[in-house]
Amino acid sequence: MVLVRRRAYLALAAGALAGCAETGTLNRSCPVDETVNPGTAAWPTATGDRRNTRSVPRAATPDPPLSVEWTRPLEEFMGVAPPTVADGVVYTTNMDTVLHAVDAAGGETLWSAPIERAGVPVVADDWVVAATDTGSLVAFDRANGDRTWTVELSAGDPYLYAAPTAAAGLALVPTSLGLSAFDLATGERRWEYPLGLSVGRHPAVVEGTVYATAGDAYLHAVDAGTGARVWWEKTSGPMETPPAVVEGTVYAATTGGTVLAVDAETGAREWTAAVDARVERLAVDGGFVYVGGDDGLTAIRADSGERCWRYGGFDASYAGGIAASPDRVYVTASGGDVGGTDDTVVALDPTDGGVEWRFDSGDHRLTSGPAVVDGAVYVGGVVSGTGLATVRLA
Amino acid sequence: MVRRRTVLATVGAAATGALAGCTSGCSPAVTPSTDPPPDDRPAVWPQPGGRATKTGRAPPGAAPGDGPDATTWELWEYTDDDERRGLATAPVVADGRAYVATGRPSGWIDDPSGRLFALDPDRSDPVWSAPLPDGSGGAPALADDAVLVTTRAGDVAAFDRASGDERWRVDVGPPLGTPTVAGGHCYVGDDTGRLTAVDLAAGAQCRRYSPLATGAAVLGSDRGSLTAPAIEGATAYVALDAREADDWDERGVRIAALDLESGDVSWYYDAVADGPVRSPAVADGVVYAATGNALHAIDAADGTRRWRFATGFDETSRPAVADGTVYVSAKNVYALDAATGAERWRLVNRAYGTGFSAQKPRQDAPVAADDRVFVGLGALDAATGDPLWGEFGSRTESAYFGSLEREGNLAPAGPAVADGAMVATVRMGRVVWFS
Repeated sequence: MVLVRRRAYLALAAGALAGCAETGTLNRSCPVDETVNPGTAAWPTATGDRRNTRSVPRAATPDPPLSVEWTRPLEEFMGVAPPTVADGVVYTTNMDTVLHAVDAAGGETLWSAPIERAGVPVVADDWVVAATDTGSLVAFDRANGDRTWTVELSAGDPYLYAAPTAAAGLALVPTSLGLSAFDLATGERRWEYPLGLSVGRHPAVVEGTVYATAGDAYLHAVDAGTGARVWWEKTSGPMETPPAVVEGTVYAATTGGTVLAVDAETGAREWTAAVDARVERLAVDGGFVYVGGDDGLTAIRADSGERCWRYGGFDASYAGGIAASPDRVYVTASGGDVGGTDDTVVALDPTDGGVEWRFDSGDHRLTSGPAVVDGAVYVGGVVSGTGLATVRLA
Repeated sequence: MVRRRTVLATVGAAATGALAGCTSGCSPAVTPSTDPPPDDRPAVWPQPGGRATKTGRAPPGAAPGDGPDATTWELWEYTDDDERRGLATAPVVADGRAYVATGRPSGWIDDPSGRLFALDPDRSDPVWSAPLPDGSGGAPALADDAVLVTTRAGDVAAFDRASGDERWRVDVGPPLGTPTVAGGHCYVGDDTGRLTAVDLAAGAQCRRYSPLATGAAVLGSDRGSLTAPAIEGATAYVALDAREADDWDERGVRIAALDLESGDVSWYYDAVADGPVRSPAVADGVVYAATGNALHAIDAADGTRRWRFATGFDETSRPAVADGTVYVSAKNVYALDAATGAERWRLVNRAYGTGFSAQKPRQDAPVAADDRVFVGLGALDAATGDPLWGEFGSRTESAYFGSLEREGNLAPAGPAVADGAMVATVRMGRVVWFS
């Protein structure tokens, strides 16, 4: 399931080299700004919310230690999409044949619907939308799992389709040639934003503007109503990671490790920073921008771009990630910090990146998520004796 | 790899002899000058990029009108069955004829043989062809009534343009790149990172430069290939690529400003590439260098960066520069403000996919002429990027392109625009003459 790409190899090689020089120089504490906590009550997309912050409201952040409350088997063998959560329902796919809607409290399946090789299910209004790597976009009625509409996407690299955004009445689908927008209720095509190169996963949507990273080395701001460009900001290289928008600033990163903050209205550059690794995940909370790839998670001050600390155990794998609050940051980890090899979930101290708690996953391998909602952590992975499953920790 | 090292060893021995013989055979003093401005020569496109500065600009009256007729040759039809078919180079044009070489390595033949062809649009078969048993080092170049071609065995050879007879041949040493002709000399880089000047009148090796002697430390490699230099006045701008053969990993690249009289380097500019490095171009006091995934604009006087445009695609072409605008191919075709690097327009290339798919990204150097940009197999409006005629993208829209992603694309050095014609080479041996 892991998509092996040449660029990834390059970045990993470069990061490994740079990591040596960095040891010991990037391990200081920075103050947490508790007033910056943009998270919402739900986790409707893989990136937490439509602004892609991966932020968790303080009141909704569970205190460790956590234990397994339920395990929902997903059958099949392909993988587990990052779970999404809205209104007490967890949505996930086994990336093969089935979309599941699971009761968040008890873990019972509310409904399941057939879908071929789907990626992350994203939720907005009455619909849950998923794209498949066979090239179609499908909307389901959240109430009962009935298929509302299906559109066949234009040709391109279908893997990219699996990271849509549902917001502002639109289903926004990144493709290998640009960004496509469909009416969320009907599936009718609204507009195209053609680039000739790929658009990054999960564009952010804030107040009628779509913010998208792209392979053409621009950060794009696009009018959600018309598909017209509002501004674009050239960067040092291609971008794939979803951008985050907080308090009028857009935070984004190139795959090569340049992190930038720009004014959301004008695109004017506020600061630029560099990390020594490929960036695959980004989160904004507590006055920090967190950027992570397979080489670790780096905390950067959101107001200045100054680097604070780096946690080497972070593992984005293919569906891992970050859920950040001012009190602690839950991330998927590969066990590098303790010398083990388990794939699990850890809670980090946002001031210095220290591991506050580590879930003893035993023989389980938890690699998808986390989604953090209402005092619980939802993750996916391979559970010993069960197979592919979604798990609630609380 | 084994074969390549064997070739190098053999050539190394031969080069020693050539060097010894050469010092007496030609004047040691190089007196470089730029070839006459193209406005004087609308019927000639003597080298890739048009002239020694490699600016890809054709003079008024050189370009074809819109909606031209096409004449096509399939060069591989004119090779013997026992020849190892190599990819075709960019064309050069003079007085109604195009000259193209084959014999460039491809993904499936790394040591092809080749030929040098003379093509006349009034004839369906070549006017003449000359065998290049060791393949060609790059596109040919024209100097007066000779056509020059380099070989991967390390020769520079001159053929009579009219008859195809070989006039002279000099063994320069290691496998060579595309020559640049300026001031009565032919300058050619090799895969050890040296630049050699050959006096065209004397027909013998003349002078060898090592502008990148310190390259090893910077590039992390003890060898590298030198692309065709851009030459303006007495300065050659050269790009040293640390690439080993087909290694496309991220690596160091060094651009140097080399004084051809003193042999001194006045500045270096270092960059990183993760795709092929193209020959530089120099226009209006700025050196442009494409390093795989980006185009760099460098102050020609001091080597400082003016701007860098990340194309997001790992094959970026040598640019064309005209009237304050820089035109470059990198899957899409872009027009950039020469002063700032800001994008003015792009031709969106809707080709997609990778590998053995329909993707035919643009990576061929454009040519600017008569308010047109000639690229791919057609022309764009230089002000807007709107297609005026021809084909630019994918297999689905064109039968001209080959069936493989990279080999089926156009020669990276771009078309020739002269004599009311645009001549372009698809690397799998297809040459198209539009007029």
